[in-house]
Parts: sequence; C-alpha cells; structure tokens
Amino acid sequence: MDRRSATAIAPRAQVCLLLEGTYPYVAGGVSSWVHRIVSDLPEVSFALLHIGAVRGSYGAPRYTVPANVTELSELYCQTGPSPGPADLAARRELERRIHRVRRHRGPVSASRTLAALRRMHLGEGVDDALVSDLARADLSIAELLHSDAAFAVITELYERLAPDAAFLDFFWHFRAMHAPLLRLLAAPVPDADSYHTVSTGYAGLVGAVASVRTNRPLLLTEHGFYTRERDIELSRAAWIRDPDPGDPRIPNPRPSPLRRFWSRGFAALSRIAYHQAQSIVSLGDNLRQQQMSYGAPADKLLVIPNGVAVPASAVGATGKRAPADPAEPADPADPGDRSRALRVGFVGRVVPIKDVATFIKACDLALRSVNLDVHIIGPDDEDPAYARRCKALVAMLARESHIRFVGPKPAAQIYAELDVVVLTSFSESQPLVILEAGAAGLPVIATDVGVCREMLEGRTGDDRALGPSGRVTRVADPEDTAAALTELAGSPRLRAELGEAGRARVHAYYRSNQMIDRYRALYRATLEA
Amino acid sequence: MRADQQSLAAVATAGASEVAAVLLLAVQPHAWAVLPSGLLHVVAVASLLRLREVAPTRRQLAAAMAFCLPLIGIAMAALVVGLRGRSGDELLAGHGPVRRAASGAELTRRLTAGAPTCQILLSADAETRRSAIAALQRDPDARAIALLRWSLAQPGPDLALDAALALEELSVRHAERSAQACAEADRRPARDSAIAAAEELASAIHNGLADPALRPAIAARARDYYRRAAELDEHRAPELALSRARLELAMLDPEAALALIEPVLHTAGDPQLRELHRDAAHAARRFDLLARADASPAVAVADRAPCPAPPAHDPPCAGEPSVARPAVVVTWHASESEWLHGSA
Repeated sequence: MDRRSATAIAPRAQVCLLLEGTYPYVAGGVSSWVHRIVSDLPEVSFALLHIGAVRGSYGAPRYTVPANVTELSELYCQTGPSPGPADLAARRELERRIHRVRRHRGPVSASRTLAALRRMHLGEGVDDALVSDLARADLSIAELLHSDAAFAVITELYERLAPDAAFLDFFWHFRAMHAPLLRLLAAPVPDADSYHTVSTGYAGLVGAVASVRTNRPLLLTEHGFYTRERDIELSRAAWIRDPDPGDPRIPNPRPSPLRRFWSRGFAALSRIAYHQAQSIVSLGDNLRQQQMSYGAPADKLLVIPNGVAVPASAVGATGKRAPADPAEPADPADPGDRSRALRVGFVGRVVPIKDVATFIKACDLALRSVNLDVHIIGPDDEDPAYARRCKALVAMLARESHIRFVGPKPAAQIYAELDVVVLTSFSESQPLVILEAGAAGLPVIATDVGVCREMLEGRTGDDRALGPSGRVTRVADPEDTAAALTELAGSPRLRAELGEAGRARVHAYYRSNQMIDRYRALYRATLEA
Repeated sequence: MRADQQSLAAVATAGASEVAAVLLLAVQPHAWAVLPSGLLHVVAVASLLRLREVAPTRRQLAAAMAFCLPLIGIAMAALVVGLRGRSGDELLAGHGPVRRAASGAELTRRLTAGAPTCQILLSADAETRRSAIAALQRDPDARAIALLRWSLAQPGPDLALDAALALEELSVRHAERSAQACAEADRRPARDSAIAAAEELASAIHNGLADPALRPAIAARARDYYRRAAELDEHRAPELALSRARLELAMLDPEAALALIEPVLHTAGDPQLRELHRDAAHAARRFDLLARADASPAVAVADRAPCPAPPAHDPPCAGEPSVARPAVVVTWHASESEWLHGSA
C-alpha cells in the first residue's frame, strides 16, 4: 500500500470522490466532468482519492483543485520491481517472512478475505457477506504469496477455471491480479459522509469496502464500462500467453482461459460496486440498458446526462458562416482554396480508441468530391506511436495541405473556427464534444457508439421532435463518414438546420446547470438517508 | 572478495581441516587424538555452514555431506557449492506457450459440432465472440479480413467494436512490418530486400486489409519497390512478373497485368503465370489472348506484340484508359468470404 495525503489533518468531507487514473492528473472527458461537479457545487465539501498503478506514472495535476476540496489523497496499488536474484539480503528477508507465514498459517486459513476472493471467482452472485468479508482485509500480501492456504485456493481455482492453461502461468496471473487488490483493501480511505466512485473496477472496490466499513452510502456514476474497456485491453494483451489454438482453419470457439480469468475478475469487481452502491447513475438510456446487462440492478439505476455550459446569447443565434462553395473537389495547388473549404474538426486525443485513422481516410475520400479544411484538435502526446502513424497516413495520402494536426486548443476557440465536428471513436459513453458542438450550433457526424445516437437524434419523443442534429455513421467505416461529410458539405442549409437542432437539444436537455441540480439533489438525498 | 572466491576459500578451509583430522588420526592412532581430530572435523563442517554466498538449502546440504562422510563428503560438498543451475527467473522468461497437439477426437468435435465462424461471431457470449475474433486475428488471410469487415456491418455494437479493434491492430502490425521492410530496402539496396518490401506492402492489398482510400498509395509504393528490384538485377526482372501482375490484378487493372505477363509468358513456363494470364485475359475481356496462351511457345513468342486492333465494341488494349471497364473477379476460390460479399 502506498498512500499519501496532501493535508495532514482534514475535516470530514461530505463526499469522497474515488477516481481511478483520472482527475486531477489526466485530461479528458471524465476529468472535465469531475472538475465541473466539484467546482459547481461549492456548498459541498469533497475529499478526492486518486487511485493509480505506480507512483510517478502521473505528472503534475492538470487542473486547479477548487477550494471546497478538503483532501487530495493518492493510492497506488502496485509497487516497484521486486529484488533480483543477486540481491541476497532482500532474498534472505523474504525467506524469513515466508518462514514466519508458514509457521503461523497452516493449510487451512481463517482469513475471510481469502475465502471471499475464492467465492468472488467461483460464485456468480455478490452478496453482503462477500463484500463484508473483503472489507475485513485480514489477508496480508505475504500470506497471499506464500501461505499454503493461498496455494490451495490457487490450485482449486486453476482446476475449476483454467485447466487448459499452464499452471505456472495461472499461478503468476493469480498473484498479479490479487496483490493490487489486497493493497487497496488494506489502504485507509478518507473519512467522509458518503462515497462517490466514478467507475467500477478498483475505485468501485475501494468505495464498496469503505461503504461497508463506515456504514455510509456509496454512489456510482459510470462514464464508460470498466469491464468492457478491460476486456478490450485483455483481448489485445501480449503479456497473456494462450494455449496453442491448433489448426487456425478449424473454428475453435474456446475462449482463452487466462484472458477469461482476468475478464471475470474485473466483472466481479463491477458487480461488487453495483451491489454496494445505493444509486447507480447512467449517462443515457442506451448505457443504462448495457449496465443492466453487466449486472446492475434496475431499481438502483437513474439517468443523469452530462451537461455543458450554454451561454444565454447562444440560444436562438444563427449558425456559423457558410463557406463559399465547398462542394467542389479540393485543389492542393490552390493556396486560396482553403478559404472556400468546409472547416471540419476532429476534437479529441489522438489515440487508437478515437480511431483518428478512419477520420483521416474519410476526409481523404470526401476530399475527392468536396473541398475541406480539416483540423485535428487535441493532444497527441498520449500515444506518440499512434500519432506518428496518423501523421504518416496523412503524408501517404498527400493531404498535408488539407489535413492538419493543430494540437490542443482552449474550448472557446475550437468551435468558432469550425463548420462541422466529426467523431469516429470506436468507443464512447456520452462525449462532451458532441454537446459542446451542439451548444455552438455545429452539426456533428459521430459513430454509433455509446449514447451518440440519442444525443444526435433524440432520446425521448419531445427530444426527437427537435430533429436530428447530425449524422450517425458506422464504426470504422471511412466511406460512411465520407458520405456524411459530402452530404453536409453540399448543403449549407442542411448544416444550419442540424446545427440549430443541436443547439436547441443541448439547451433543452444537456445544460450544465441541469446536471448540477440533479447531482445536488442526489447528494442531498444520499446524505439525508 | 567475490562470492565465488569466498566459496572457494571456505571449501578449501574445510578440506584442509578435514585432511588434518584424518592425518592426525593416521599418525597418532591414540585415544587422545580423537578429540582434536573431531574438533577439526567440526571446524570443516562449520566453515561450510558459514558459506553465506550460497542458498541456505545448498549450504545445509554441503555441510550435511561433510559431516556424514569424512573427507569424501568435502569433495561432494565442493560439487554442491560449485554447481550453477538455471534460476527460476530464466526458466520463466524463456518458456513458451503450451503446445498441445489437438487430438483426432478434438478436431472431429470441432469440425462436426462447431458452428461456422459467422455464427460464432454473432454469439451473444462475449468470450466466445472474442476468441473467434482472436483466431481471425492470428491468421489474417483474405477470408479472415473479409469476416472482420463483415462483422463491422453487423448490428451488435460489441461485435463491431471488437472487429474494428482487430482490424486496427492488424493495420498497425502491417504498418510496422512494411515500414521495417522499406527501411531495410532503403538502407541496403538489394534485389531481395526490395522484393521483400514490395511483397509486404502488397500483402495488405491481396488480403483486403488496406482500405479503398489507401490502396492506390500502397500499390504505388509496392510498384516502386518492384521496379527497384528489377533495376537491381535486370537479368532476373522477368521473375518478378508474377508478383507484379498479381498486384495489378488486385488493383483491378488487368491490362497492366497482361502487359507484365505477356513478354515472359512462354519463356518462363510457370503454370502459375499461365493461370494468372488466363485470369487477367478474362478480366480484361481479351479472349483472343486465351487461345494464344494455349498455343505453342514458338508461335506465341512470334506474334506476341503489338495487340491486334480490337473490334469497335471491345475494350481497348493496354495503355489505354480502362476506368469504365467492369472488373471481373476470377481469382476467388469458393470460400466463406464469397457468399459474404454476394456475387461478384
């Protein structure tokens, strides 16, 4: 366990926000949401607990923490590298500890936490007893790593869950999965009247056990699906070795045993958070349905969409300037060509999940029939290799004069310089970009992920009556996105209509103060309960 | 002093003590000599027990041997101390995935009870679906890519997401491999490295990994490397005809493919080249070339070029624009991807 607190003695906060790999150290949609909640609820005192992997993996805070934050703590669930074989002193110390553990614990352990970990993997459901046993945190890491009882559990789980895998692989994966869990279970959590986690996973687990120990309520707001995001990572993880699948020409639907073991572990963490949470907030109906499919009880679910600040002057304002005539193919040789082009923006981090490559390909296809001035706006330092690949793609397509990487910009500047916003993400929940573009009266082309469709076409009957505020396209389909771009480039009137519908929709359903009011009421009800 | 030297010194001390003990008993076979001899034996054992540089289990084993077997035990202890095995870390770092040959029964079960890949991809069980995607990713031939692209268009968002990520991963890997091959060809210009770069680039066109937007650019680069390979060894340039023609045919330009094959068709005598020539002739609707390809080599070489003037309604010869000509796909063999796409 490795926790440090910014303040030595802090008064008890009303809400402790549990943040995994996000605010205030990482910029992005979730961090923006947290910052808005904390800033716009000055009457509520917050304690922030940031959970990360290894100390030093985050830089300086990206946000200025507001004054109503009474405590900012950090919790790291992984330690540095273990001593190498040449470090004899460290090895001797380790041997002494193993000997101590073995002397005190026989093959049958009294640890309820160990029994809970076993049930977590073998059982389908989560109950109060399971969460309560985890909250006891009566299993040390030394016992997990070296006791006969833990080895017996590993052996049993191996035989029942992953007999196709090599035992040695399973053994090390079990250790790698559970050591961080035990560190988190043993870690002190800021004292607060309620706990609010913005994801399931490790943050959800910490919130659940804190809620049990203090008998105080837990709220859960899910911006994305932790289990699915981990599944995506697991399916691509090179550090998991699979058994030989045999002849690739013959279908073999047997899932990889170790990936399945990890996946079920993360799914169990989500179910623990769902079980312990008093209320579970979804960002949209589509996401709510998916949460239920992952095991969230329907009676705890409520929908509070994200919101953005809408200036009063924006309501009823006319659309942006229409370019002179973008409905002509681009002429790279013409320097004045850009002034007549449709200004298309991709707003977001240049990372694989945003599928910037598809956006570039779509723009290339559209540029064959219409004139575009394409801006890729957002940081490209998170995945430099991917950013290099995207830039190489632009160069290979010889579109450097039409597709430009302009880096991050202040939100106020972004939308004033665009005519259309495009989002080609593989996965999203409720992207703020769509709301910001809508507030600015810009039409949006977005892939059919998360709740993008209901954000662009309407969620309820009244909402749908406002008309579409953009076009929904298929994932990883440059032709589909290019067709939508060409359609919008060819019709200034359509762009204006879509933009107005977006502005009206954001004003009616996605205003920041609506979201804040609903969270204020939720916190009040939770604290009073 | 290094650990090895310390071990050696300890074993030497133990050995010297042991020899002294035995000599003492041999020279002075009296009762009083037993005590100092025993003390020397204990010193020998103790010096081995003080070997902090070796693992405790090995140290104890060495001491036990020295204690139980006077003189001989020291030699065995020296062996125990001196042995160097592979550590667990090395074993872990080097071990590969479990290789287990599928039994005949297992293969039969999969062939008879297993659902077709399309059906597995549409499975509601995420783990089953992902394992099917992973299998396609492991062996990304044209069929696998077609299935992944087909998955993108299916209604389930999770399937589309998994397929999109798999295609992205394959694209990244291909980009890395081709960048590496091109860099190698640029660094050390040689026929083989240029061919390797061209083949790597062209593979994305042959298996369908390259998007329509990227195909022309990738093909242009592949052509460039083929051209370099031909220039680097002009005598063997005809050997490249098959690869270059395949690329042109994949780029739906059968006229260009014919132009590459025709000059070498009968000199090369390669059945694959003949088959490709037939495919290209069909695709270009140059049915007159089919008869010539089957004719004797001498005749064919004699009347190889130029192309006869086409009838008024026939497509033009190589070199003329062929954009309006419908492409005829003739290189597909019956496979799952064929019915996925519908009739060509």
